[in-house]
Amino acid sequence: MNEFPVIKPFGEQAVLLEWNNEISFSTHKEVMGYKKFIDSNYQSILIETVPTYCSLAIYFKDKSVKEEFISVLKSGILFSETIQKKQNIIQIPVCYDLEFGLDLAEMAEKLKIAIDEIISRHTTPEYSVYFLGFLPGFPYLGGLDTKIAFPRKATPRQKISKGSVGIAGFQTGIYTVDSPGGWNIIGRSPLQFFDVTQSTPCLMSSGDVVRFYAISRKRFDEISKEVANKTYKVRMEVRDV
Amino acid sequence: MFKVLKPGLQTTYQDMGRFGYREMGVPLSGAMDQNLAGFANSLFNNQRNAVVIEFTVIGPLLEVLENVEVAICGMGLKPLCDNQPLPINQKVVLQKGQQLKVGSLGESMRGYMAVSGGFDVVSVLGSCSYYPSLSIPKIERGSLLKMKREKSKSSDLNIPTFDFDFYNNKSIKVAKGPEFELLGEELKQELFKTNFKINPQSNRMATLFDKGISMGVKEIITAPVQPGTVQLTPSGSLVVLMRDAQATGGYGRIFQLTPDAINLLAQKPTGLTIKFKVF
Repeated sequence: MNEFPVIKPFGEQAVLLEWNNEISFSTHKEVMGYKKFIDSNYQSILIETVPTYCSLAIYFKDKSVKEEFISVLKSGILFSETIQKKQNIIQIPVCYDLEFGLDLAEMAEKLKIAIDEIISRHTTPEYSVYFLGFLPGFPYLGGLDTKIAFPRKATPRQKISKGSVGIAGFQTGIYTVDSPGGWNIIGRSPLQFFDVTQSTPCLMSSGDVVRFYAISRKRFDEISKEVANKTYKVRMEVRDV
Repeated sequence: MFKVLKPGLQTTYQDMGRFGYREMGVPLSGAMDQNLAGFANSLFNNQRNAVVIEFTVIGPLLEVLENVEVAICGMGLKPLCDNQPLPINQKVVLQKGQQLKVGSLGESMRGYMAVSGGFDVVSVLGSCSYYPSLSIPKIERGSLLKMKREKSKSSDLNIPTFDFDFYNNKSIKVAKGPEFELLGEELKQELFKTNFKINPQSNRMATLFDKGISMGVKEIITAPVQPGTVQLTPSGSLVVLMRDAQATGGYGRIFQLTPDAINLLAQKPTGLTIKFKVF
């Protein structure tokens, strides 16, 4: 039997499942497989489950059901991996002008890479959405070009505007709402990433693929207007995997 | 209905929280001291989840716009109505045109105002609890506080007497967290021996302390956290996550507070010291 997941205590009304301590697609796929299985089979006793890179928190409505659930898990869960068959590929426009890319100049200097090269290295890869957290709708994206990895700022900014795209260590992400924060800001997207008036409030969800593309300052304003008028259609395609 | 003349500090609408959206990065929120908020609602036979007003250290100054029954709950409060003292922790009747000064909390941190049926706020993602970036209204100067018109017929609360002595407890009960066993024996001892002094930077997201311990633990790969999770940073600072905590975090999780301990800590004023105790 597989040694993972390890079951760890996490308070009276929760339990934590942990896998190999790493950021990898294969581990995360297992986390999501368990999540889907547990969500669909134990919904009535759960508040919710929260996945991250290599763990899954399971929150119960009542502490009385926890022990029974753990014993089912230990007996070897009848786990049929739900294989993801379709994948959304979401195109995110980003204006990398220095007006928005507050830390581009500093990064270029310290990394000894031209700003244009930072932009092209940021817009080349496909990023996977591991999970959402930190802020409503904030995506933790995997797949950053290691050449443009850059440590988190020592002193966080008091306010980072929503739509700001940032880099922290080997991660890149998008500030979906205004927030204080310590990520290095390289640009801003005019899209609305979190909207409580929508039936699905978040533009992205775990398992989606994200690509960034550069837009001009003028195009940023145009898209902003379309987003405000709710006429903008996010560029998204679905592919089989 | 009330009109807000002065909002007081961190005065917000709260119910018991927003469940089911942590996967999207939306915190639970909800009343910091859910025991006391529940007690305030029980005085009106309200549902436990009815909307109350939570205030921190200093309560609001309100103009009463219609005759109303209200309960002002908290420890050490001395509210005034048109400069006359009002009893606390029970229902009181206020008349249109009067001025209600909730005043400051003497020996605790948070108080609650409840009305029959609860306050009337549009729910966002299944809850009326205030959280920045969701569209729950802020309570500020000039805000109108409206009451629900239809009352619940039966309550899910049964609180015949309320144990205020509970709040005198100085130790915060915890269970071991996922990273507790990463700590050396000496560090574990130090954690239980140290008196931690509550720092004024504390808020609805986290309780912080003036001083931590001699050593910390290295950061972890971002993983789930919840209200009551005690994080230990690499430099040895302790952070107790509270109701507005994010759903994930990157510091070692050494303890998890019991549900009651979260309510207790929510009432500990700045400057007071606490100790952690494994139950």
